Order: sequence, then structure tokens, then C-alpha cells
Amino acid sequence: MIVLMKAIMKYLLVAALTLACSAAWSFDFEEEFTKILKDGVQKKIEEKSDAATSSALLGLVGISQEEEITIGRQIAGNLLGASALVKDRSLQIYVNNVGRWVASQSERPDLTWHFGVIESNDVNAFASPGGYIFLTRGLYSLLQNEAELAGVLGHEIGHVIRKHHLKILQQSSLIDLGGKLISRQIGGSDKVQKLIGNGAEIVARSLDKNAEFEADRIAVVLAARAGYDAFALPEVLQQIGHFAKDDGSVALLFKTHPHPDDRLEKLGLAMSDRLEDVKGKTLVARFYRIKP
Amino acid sequence: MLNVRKEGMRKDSGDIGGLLSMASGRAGTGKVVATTGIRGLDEVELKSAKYNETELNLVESYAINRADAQLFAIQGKLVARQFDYLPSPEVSSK
Repeated sequence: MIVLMKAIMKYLLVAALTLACSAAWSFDFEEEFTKILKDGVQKKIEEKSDAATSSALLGLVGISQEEEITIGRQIAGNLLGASALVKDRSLQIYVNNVGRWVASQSERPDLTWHFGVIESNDVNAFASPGGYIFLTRGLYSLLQNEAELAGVLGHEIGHVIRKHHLKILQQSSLIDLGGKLISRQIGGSDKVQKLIGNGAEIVARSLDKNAEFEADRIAVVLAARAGYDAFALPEVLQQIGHFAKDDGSVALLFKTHPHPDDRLEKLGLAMSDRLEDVKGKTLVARFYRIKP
Repeated sequence: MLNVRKEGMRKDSGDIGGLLSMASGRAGTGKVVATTGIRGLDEVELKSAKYNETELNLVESYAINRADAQLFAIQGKLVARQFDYLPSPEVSSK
């Protein structure tokens, strides 16, 4: 009887161990499978930077809009911790009107978009997931008309609608398993902060060059759709290209973006004669001049 | 400040010359000089930035809804139109 009991116990132990190993293998396999799937999708995106394709593929490993806004809000709050808003309500309302109108021409017209001009003499603009977009006082001061502002905001809107920064986050190990893990972990700003790294460093990271070129192409189209002169963004790029390379105010911009000459070349190839006959407004008279 | 405007560009459009003619030649002319007085915004500052809820709430208070943006466009006589996204030159040439 005791021998029989020992045999049964041994059998049960072996069975339990087998089951445990099987479960562990199953978990590893699932994790590995997810990684392979994600890597495959990313590779596919890099192979073909076509806008519609990248958008569709990103959707496979995407996160919910609510999660995107939670992440973007944290990044925006951090960025504003580094540079506060220019305290000019009329300016901020004006920029939000222009930005919202341009964003309404995108495939995410109902996102709650936010735009702001921040206190920095650097020439730069930043996009954060979920529709938070900022440009510096230094960049705004270079602009000559509303169409140029629309072009600059259109570029950043392009980053948001193509989820370029989320793609960077997805490439990090912190959200390796994608949206489901985020939704379980997000419970407060501390946890979101762990997700995005230090402060607002995510906006200082270089995106893939193709993402910048894609955002330029989106910008001129959104501006054209909104009724603006599509050639306004190239004019801004031209002005930025005239900064001396060692000018500190463009140091971060030049570090994180392709040179304006390269961007103009790529835009020229993409625009070709497609936008030549599209007339648009510049609205010089309505352009809000920033106070010094 | 800069005199290369779109009329000049469009004369050459149809090839890449139009926008390339706007290029600085990469070296930069130093023609554009930023005003001074306000600090810049570098990587170090961005990395060490601390969350500012007050400023975030302020920017969110400026949000414009879609209908108001439409009114703003009408005031500027801006008319929305259909236009397809531009394909990447690399993709479209394949």
C-alpha cells in the first residue's frame, strides 16, 4: 500500500512538473512570438516608408488613443517644465486656431489637439503623442505669415498622426509587449514617466530620417488641404538652412533632423509638379506678430 | 530677409531644381541671427525637465474645437479641398 502511494505521489509530481514546464515554455513562446511579430512589422515599416502602409502596420502593434494621450500628456507636461508657455493668450489662441484647422484636414480630425508657443530662443518644434504640439518663440519669430505657421504645425501634426514617437517608445524594452502591457501598468504619472525615460528626452531623440521626410510631405499636403500656400514650409526650411552650422539656436534641431537642404531636396522630388497649380493663401495680414 | 520666394521656385518646378534652388548650400550663410535674452533648450534641459501641471493645464485651456476652427478658417477665406498625400519619392519610383 505504501509502495503504491509512493508510486502515485511520484507520478503526480512528474505530471505537475511537466505541466509547469509546458506552461513556462508556452509563456516564453508567446513572448518570443510577439517579439518576432513586432520585429517583422518594424522591419516592414522601415523597408517601405509609404505613409498609409506604415500607419496600417503600426496599428497592429498600436496602443489605444487613451493610452497615447496619457503618454503624450506626460511628455508635454515635462517639456513645459523645461520651457514655459509664452504668456500671450492671444498668441496661443491664434496658434491653436491655425493648428486645429490644419489638423482637421488630417485623418485624426477629432483628436483633442493642443498647440503652444514656448519660451525659448532656440529654433525648434516638438510633437508629443496624442496631439500635443509646441514650437519655440525662436522659430515663431522667423515666420512671415500664417501659411508658414500652418506648414510648421503640419510637420508636427504629421509626426502625431503617423505615431512616430510612439514607434520609438515601442522599440524600447519598456513597452516591448505593446498596448496591453501599457494598459495594465499605467496607473499614475510615475509609471508613465518610467515608460518615457527622463524628463522630455523623447522629444530630443532623433527620429528616423524617413519619418522627418514623411512629416514634411504630410505638412505641405495638410496646408494645401486647409487652403494655405503649400510652398510656405519650403520657405521656412530655406530660412532655417541659412543659419550658420555652429549657431547654438539650431544645434538641437540640426542634430535631430536632416539638414534643411536635404529636406528641400526630398520635398522637391515628392512635390514635383503636383502642387504647382494649387493656389493657396499666405494670410500675411492676419498673421499674429509675437511681442518681443 | 530672404528673397527667394515661390515665384522663383515655381519657374523651375517640375523637377527638383525648384526647391533645390532654395537650399543654402549646407554651409549656412549665417544670415539669420536669433535674438538673445531667453535661454535655449538643449538635450540636458529636456532630460532633466520636471513635469509642470500648471503650464499643461494652461495649454489645454487654449484648445479650440473643430467647429471654432472652421469659423476661423471662414474668417480668413480659407477653403478646404481634397488632396492626396504625396508618396515617398523612393516608393513611387519603384
